[in-house]
Amino acid sequence: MSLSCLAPHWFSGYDIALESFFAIISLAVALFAIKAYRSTNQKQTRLFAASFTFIALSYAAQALFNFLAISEATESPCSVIELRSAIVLDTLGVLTSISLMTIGLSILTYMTLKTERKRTLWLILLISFLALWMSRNTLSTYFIMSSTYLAVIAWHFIDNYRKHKNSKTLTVALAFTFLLIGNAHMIFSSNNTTFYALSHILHFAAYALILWNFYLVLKK
Amino acid sequence: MNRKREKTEIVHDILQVIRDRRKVRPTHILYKSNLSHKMFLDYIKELTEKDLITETTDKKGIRLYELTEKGHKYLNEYAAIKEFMDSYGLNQEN
Repeated sequence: MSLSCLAPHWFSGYDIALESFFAIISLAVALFAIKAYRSTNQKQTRLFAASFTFIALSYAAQALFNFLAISEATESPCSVIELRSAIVLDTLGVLTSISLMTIGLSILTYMTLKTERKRTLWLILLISFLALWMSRNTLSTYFIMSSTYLAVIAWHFIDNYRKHKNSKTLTVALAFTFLLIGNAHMIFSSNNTTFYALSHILHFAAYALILWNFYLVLKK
Repeated sequence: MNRKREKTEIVHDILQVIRDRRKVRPTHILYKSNLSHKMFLDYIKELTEKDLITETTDKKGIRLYELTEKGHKYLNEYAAIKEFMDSYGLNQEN
Protein backbone atom coordinates (compact mmCIF):
# COMPACT_ATOMS: atom_id res chain seq x y z
CA MET A 1 0.00 0.00 0.00
CA SER A 2 2.89 2.28 -0.69
CA LEU A 3 2.33 5.76 -2.14
CA SER A 4 5.82 6.72 -3.29
CA CYS A 5 6.03 3.39 -5.17
CA LEU A 6 3.14 4.69 -7.27
CA ALA A 7 5.22 7.62 -8.48
CA PRO A 8 6.34 7.26 -12.10
CA HIS A 9 10.09 7.41 -12.56
CA TRP A 10 10.01 10.84 -14.25
CA PHE A 11 7.97 12.22 -11.34
CA SER A 12 10.28 11.01 -8.58
CA GLY A 13 11.40 13.92 -6.41
CA TYR A 14 8.77 16.30 -7.81
CA ASP A 15 6.15 14.67 -5.59
CA ILE A 16 8.25 15.44 -2.49
CA ALA A 17 8.71 19.06 -3.59
CA LEU A 18 4.97 19.42 -4.24
CA GLU A 19 4.03 17.82 -0.90
CA SER A 20 6.38 20.26 0.87
CA PHE A 21 4.68 23.13 -1.01
CA PHE A 22 1.23 21.88 0.08
CA ALA A 23 2.46 21.63 3.70
CA ILE A 24 3.78 25.20 3.70
CA ILE A 25 0.57 26.67 2.19
CA SER A 26 -1.65 24.68 4.59
CA LEU A 27 0.47 25.80 7.55
CA ALA A 28 0.28 29.44 6.45
CA VAL A 29 -3.54 29.17 6.21
CA ALA A 30 -3.67 27.48 9.64
CA LEU A 31 -1.53 30.20 11.25
CA PHE A 32 -3.67 32.97 9.78
CA ALA A 33 -6.81 31.15 10.94
CA ILE A 34 -5.33 30.98 14.47
CA LYS A 35 -4.77 34.73 14.28
CA ALA A 36 -8.38 35.23 13.13
CA TYR A 37 -9.60 32.98 15.95
CA ARG A 38 -7.69 35.01 18.54
CA SER A 39 -9.46 38.12 17.29
CA THR A 40 -12.97 36.74 16.85
CA ASN A 41 -13.11 33.78 19.25
CA GLN A 42 -15.38 32.02 16.74
CA LYS A 43 -15.71 28.28 17.03
CA GLN A 44 -15.77 27.75 13.25
CA THR A 45 -12.46 29.58 12.86
CA ARG A 46 -10.88 27.46 15.61
CA LEU A 47 -12.01 24.27 13.87
CA PHE A 48 -10.76 25.58 10.54
CA ALA A 49 -7.34 26.35 12.08
CA ALA A 50 -7.16 22.89 13.69
CA SER A 51 -8.10 21.11 10.46
CA PHE A 52 -5.50 22.94 8.37
CA THR A 53 -2.84 22.24 11.01
CA PHE A 54 -3.51 18.50 10.67
CA ILE A 55 -3.59 18.77 6.87
CA ALA A 56 -0.21 20.59 6.91
CA LEU A 57 1.25 17.92 9.21
CA SER A 58 -0.07 15.20 6.91
CA TYR A 59 1.67 16.68 3.85
CA ALA A 60 4.86 17.27 5.85
CA ALA A 61 4.85 13.63 7.02
CA GLN A 62 4.18 12.41 3.46
CA ALA A 63 7.08 14.48 2.09
CA LEU A 64 9.47 13.45 4.87
CA PHE A 65 8.76 9.72 4.70
CA ASN A 66 8.81 9.73 0.87
CA PHE A 67 12.20 11.43 1.01
CA LEU A 68 13.54 8.94 3.57
CA ALA A 69 12.17 5.96 1.62
CA ILE A 70 13.71 7.14 -1.67
CA SER A 71 17.04 7.84 0.09
CA GLU A 72 17.08 4.33 1.62
CA ALA A 73 16.22 2.66 -1.69
CA THR A 74 18.77 4.57 -3.77
CA GLU A 75 21.68 4.27 -1.31
CA SER A 76 21.98 0.51 -1.78
CA PRO A 77 19.48 -0.57 -4.42
CA CYS A 78 20.76 -4.17 -4.40
CA SER A 79 20.58 -4.66 -0.65
CA VAL A 80 17.46 -6.53 0.49
CA ILE A 81 17.76 -5.05 4.00
CA GLU A 82 17.90 -1.48 2.65
CA LEU A 83 14.93 -2.12 0.36
CA ARG A 84 12.97 -3.68 3.21
CA SER A 85 13.69 -0.69 5.42
CA ALA A 86 12.61 1.62 2.56
CA ILE A 87 9.28 -0.25 2.32
CA VAL A 88 8.82 -0.06 6.11
CA LEU A 89 9.51 3.68 6.03
CA ASP A 90 7.14 4.14 3.11
CA THR A 91 4.32 2.21 4.80
CA LEU A 92 4.87 4.12 8.04
CA GLY A 93 4.74 7.36 6.08
CA VAL A 94 1.49 6.43 4.35
CA LEU A 95 -0.17 5.42 7.64
CA THR A 96 0.97 8.61 9.41
CA SER A 97 -0.04 10.78 6.48
CA ILE A 98 -3.52 9.29 5.95
CA SER A 99 -4.22 9.32 9.71
CA LEU A 100 -3.37 13.03 9.98
CA MET A 101 -5.29 13.86 6.79
CA THR A 102 -8.32 11.90 8.04
CA ILE A 103 -8.32 13.94 11.27
CA GLY A 104 -7.95 17.20 9.31
CA LEU A 105 -10.74 16.41 6.85
CA SER A 106 -13.02 15.08 9.62
CA ILE A 107 -12.67 18.36 11.52
CA LEU A 108 -13.26 20.39 8.35
CA THR A 109 -16.36 18.30 7.54
CA TYR A 110 -17.63 18.78 11.11
CA MET A 111 -17.07 22.54 10.71
CA THR A 112 -19.24 22.64 7.57
CA LEU A 113 -22.07 20.87 9.43
CA LYS A 114 -22.27 23.88 11.80
CA THR A 115 -23.46 21.82 14.71
CA GLU A 116 -22.80 22.55 18.37
CA ARG A 117 -22.67 18.85 19.28
CA LYS A 118 -19.08 17.75 19.89
CA ARG A 119 -20.22 14.14 19.79
CA THR A 120 -20.75 14.50 16.03
CA LEU A 121 -17.02 15.13 15.58
CA TRP A 122 -16.07 12.17 17.77
CA LEU A 123 -18.50 9.99 15.82
CA ILE A 124 -17.00 11.05 12.46
CA LEU A 125 -13.47 10.37 13.77
CA LEU A 126 -14.44 7.01 15.30
CA ILE A 127 -16.17 5.76 12.15
CA SER A 128 -13.31 7.00 9.96
CA PHE A 129 -10.59 5.21 11.94
CA LEU A 130 -12.66 2.05 12.37
CA ALA A 131 -13.18 1.95 8.61
CA LEU A 132 -9.44 2.40 7.97
CA TRP A 133 -8.46 -0.14 10.61
CA MET A 134 -10.91 -2.86 9.53
CA SER A 135 -10.43 -2.42 5.80
CA ARG A 136 -8.54 -4.99 3.73
CA ASN A 137 -7.37 -2.25 1.40
CA THR A 138 -6.64 0.75 3.63
CA LEU A 139 -5.58 3.00 0.77
CA SER A 140 -8.77 2.48 -1.28
CA THR A 141 -10.92 2.95 1.82
CA TYR A 142 -9.02 6.14 2.60
CA PHE A 143 -9.58 7.54 -0.91
CA ILE A 144 -13.31 6.73 -0.80
CA MET A 145 -13.69 8.26 2.68
CA SER A 146 -11.60 11.37 2.04
CA SER A 147 -13.37 11.97 -1.28
CA THR A 148 -16.72 11.82 0.50
CA TYR A 149 -15.52 14.35 3.08
CA LEU A 150 -14.04 16.56 0.35
CA ALA A 151 -17.36 16.46 -1.53
CA VAL A 152 -19.16 17.77 1.59
CA ILE A 153 -16.44 20.40 2.15
CA ALA A 154 -16.38 21.48 -1.53
CA TRP A 155 -20.17 21.83 -1.47
CA HIS A 156 -19.87 24.12 1.58
CA PHE A 157 -17.47 26.41 -0.31
CA ILE A 158 -19.54 26.30 -3.54
CA ASP A 159 -22.59 27.23 -1.47
CA ASN A 160 -20.58 30.06 0.12
CA TYR A 161 -19.74 31.30 -3.39
CA ARG A 162 -23.43 31.17 -4.41
CA LYS A 163 -24.30 33.32 -1.38
CA HIS A 164 -21.36 35.73 -1.69
CA LYS A 165 -20.31 35.95 -5.31
CA ASN A 166 -16.83 37.42 -5.52
CA SER A 167 -13.38 36.41 -6.75
CA LYS A 168 -12.17 35.13 -3.35
CA THR A 169 -15.09 32.81 -2.63
CA LEU A 170 -14.85 31.55 -6.23
CA THR A 171 -11.11 30.87 -5.81
CA VAL A 172 -11.72 28.83 -2.64
CA ALA A 173 -14.65 26.93 -4.21
CA LEU A 174 -12.51 26.07 -7.25
CA ALA A 175 -9.56 25.05 -5.05
CA PHE A 176 -11.63 22.53 -3.09
CA THR A 177 -13.26 21.25 -6.30
CA PHE A 178 -9.76 20.54 -7.66
CA LEU A 179 -8.85 18.80 -4.39
CA LEU A 180 -11.99 16.67 -4.67
CA ILE A 181 -11.27 15.68 -8.29
CA GLY A 182 -7.58 15.05 -7.49
CA ASN A 183 -8.58 12.76 -4.65
CA ALA A 184 -11.68 11.08 -6.13
CA HIS A 185 -10.07 9.70 -9.27
CA MET A 186 -7.55 7.85 -7.08
CA ILE A 187 -10.44 5.60 -5.92
CA PHE A 188 -10.52 4.03 -9.38
CA SER A 189 -6.82 4.22 -10.14
CA SER A 190 -4.87 3.79 -6.90
CA ASN A 191 -2.35 1.53 -8.69
CA ASN A 192 -1.79 3.76 -11.68
CA THR A 193 1.47 5.73 -11.69
CA THR A 194 0.26 8.38 -14.15
CA PHE A 195 -2.82 9.07 -12.05
CA TYR A 196 -0.58 9.49 -8.99
CA ALA A 197 1.23 12.30 -10.84
CA LEU A 198 -2.06 13.74 -12.12
CA SER A 199 -3.41 13.78 -8.57
CA HIS A 200 -0.39 15.80 -7.43
CA ILE A 201 -0.82 18.23 -10.36
CA LEU A 202 -4.51 18.77 -9.49
CA HIS A 203 -3.54 19.30 -5.85
CA PHE A 204 -0.95 21.80 -7.02
CA ALA A 205 -3.64 23.72 -8.93
CA ALA A 206 -5.79 23.70 -5.77
CA TYR A 207 -3.02 24.95 -3.48
CA ALA A 208 -1.94 27.58 -6.02
CA LEU A 209 -5.52 28.90 -5.86
CA ILE A 210 -5.47 28.83 -2.04
CA LEU A 211 -2.19 30.76 -2.14
CA TRP A 212 -3.69 33.26 -4.60
CA ASN A 213 -6.65 33.78 -2.28
CA PHE A 214 -4.23 34.26 0.62
CA TYR A 215 -2.39 36.91 -1.39
CA LEU A 216 -5.69 38.71 -2.18
CA VAL A 217 -6.63 38.67 1.53
CA LEU A 218 -3.27 40.02 2.73
CA LYS A 219 -3.13 42.63 -0.03
CA LYS A 220 -6.24 44.33 1.40
CA MET B 1 -34.42 45.42 3.92
CA ASN B 2 -31.08 45.65 5.78
CA ARG B 3 -29.16 42.40 6.06
CA LYS B 4 -28.26 41.06 9.49
CA ARG B 5 -24.79 42.16 10.56
CA GLU B 6 -22.29 39.47 11.33
CA LYS B 7 -20.59 39.31 14.70
CA THR B 8 -17.21 40.49 13.46
CA GLU B 9 -18.90 43.45 11.75
CA ILE B 10 -20.64 44.47 15.00
CA VAL B 11 -17.33 44.20 16.89
CA HIS B 12 -15.67 46.30 14.19
CA ASP B 13 -18.45 48.93 14.34
CA ILE B 14 -18.17 49.25 18.14
CA LEU B 15 -14.38 49.52 18.04
CA GLN B 16 -14.58 52.04 15.19
CA VAL B 17 -16.94 54.27 17.21
CA ILE B 18 -14.60 54.15 20.19
CA ARG B 19 -11.51 54.86 18.06
CA ASP B 20 -13.15 57.83 16.33
CA ARG B 21 -13.71 59.61 19.66
CA ARG B 22 -10.86 58.12 21.70
CA LYS B 23 -12.92 58.07 24.93
CA VAL B 24 -16.62 57.38 24.61
CA ARG B 25 -19.62 57.17 26.89
CA PRO B 26 -21.62 53.92 26.73
CA THR B 27 -24.75 55.78 25.56
CA HIS B 28 -22.91 57.08 22.51
CA ILE B 29 -21.66 53.61 21.61
CA LEU B 30 -25.17 52.22 22.08
CA TYR B 31 -26.61 54.92 19.81
CA LYS B 32 -23.98 54.50 17.09
CA SER B 33 -23.76 50.71 17.14
CA ASN B 34 -27.51 50.25 16.65
CA LEU B 35 -27.85 47.36 19.09
CA SER B 36 -30.39 46.41 21.75
CA HIS B 37 -29.35 47.27 25.32
CA LYS B 38 -28.92 43.59 26.19
CA MET B 39 -26.76 42.85 23.14
CA PHE B 40 -24.76 45.99 23.73
CA LEU B 41 -23.91 44.91 27.30
CA ASP B 42 -22.93 41.43 26.08
CA TYR B 43 -20.60 42.85 23.44
CA ILE B 44 -19.02 45.37 25.84
CA LYS B 45 -18.42 42.59 28.38
CA GLU B 46 -16.84 40.35 25.73
CA LEU B 47 -14.63 43.12 24.31
CA THR B 48 -13.46 44.07 27.80
CA GLU B 49 -12.68 40.45 28.65
CA LYS B 50 -10.70 40.10 25.42
CA ASP B 51 -8.77 43.23 26.34
CA LEU B 52 -9.83 45.06 23.18
CA ILE B 53 -11.38 47.95 25.13
CA THR B 54 -10.92 49.24 28.65
CA GLU B 55 -13.31 50.99 31.01
CA THR B 56 -12.32 54.21 32.78
CA THR B 57 -14.20 56.98 34.59
CA ASP B 58 -13.93 60.74 34.13
CA LYS B 59 -13.75 63.34 36.92
CA LYS B 60 -17.54 63.27 37.30
CA GLY B 61 -17.49 59.51 37.71
CA ILE B 62 -19.07 58.84 34.31
CA ARG B 63 -18.04 55.57 32.64
CA LEU B 64 -15.95 55.90 29.50
CA TYR B 65 -14.55 53.32 27.10
CA GLU B 66 -11.32 53.53 25.15
CA LEU B 67 -9.41 51.22 22.86
CA THR B 68 -6.49 49.24 24.19
CA GLU B 69 -3.36 48.66 22.10
CA LYS B 70 -4.78 45.26 21.22
CA GLY B 71 -8.00 46.96 20.08
CA HIS B 72 -6.09 49.32 17.79
CA LYS B 73 -4.15 46.38 16.36
CA TYR B 74 -7.37 44.42 15.84
CA LEU B 75 -8.95 47.26 13.87
CA ASN B 76 -5.91 47.50 11.63
CA GLU B 77 -5.94 43.76 10.96
CA TYR B 78 -9.73 43.57 10.73
CA ALA B 79 -9.95 44.03 6.96
CA ALA B 80 -7.64 41.11 6.22
CA ILE B 81 -9.26 38.87 8.85
CA LYS B 82 -12.75 39.65 7.53
CA GLU B 83 -11.74 38.95 3.94
CA PHE B 84 -10.14 35.67 5.01
CA MET B 85 -13.19 34.55 7.00
CA ASP B 86 -15.62 35.61 4.27
CA SER B 87 -13.69 33.73 1.61
CA TYR B 88 -14.01 30.48 3.62
CA GLY B 89 -17.57 31.18 4.83
CA LEU B 90 -16.45 31.25 8.46
CA ASN B 91 -18.73 34.14 9.39
CA GLN B 92 -21.99 32.33 8.83
CA GLU B 93 -24.07 31.72 11.93
CA ASN B 94 -25.72 28.37 12.60
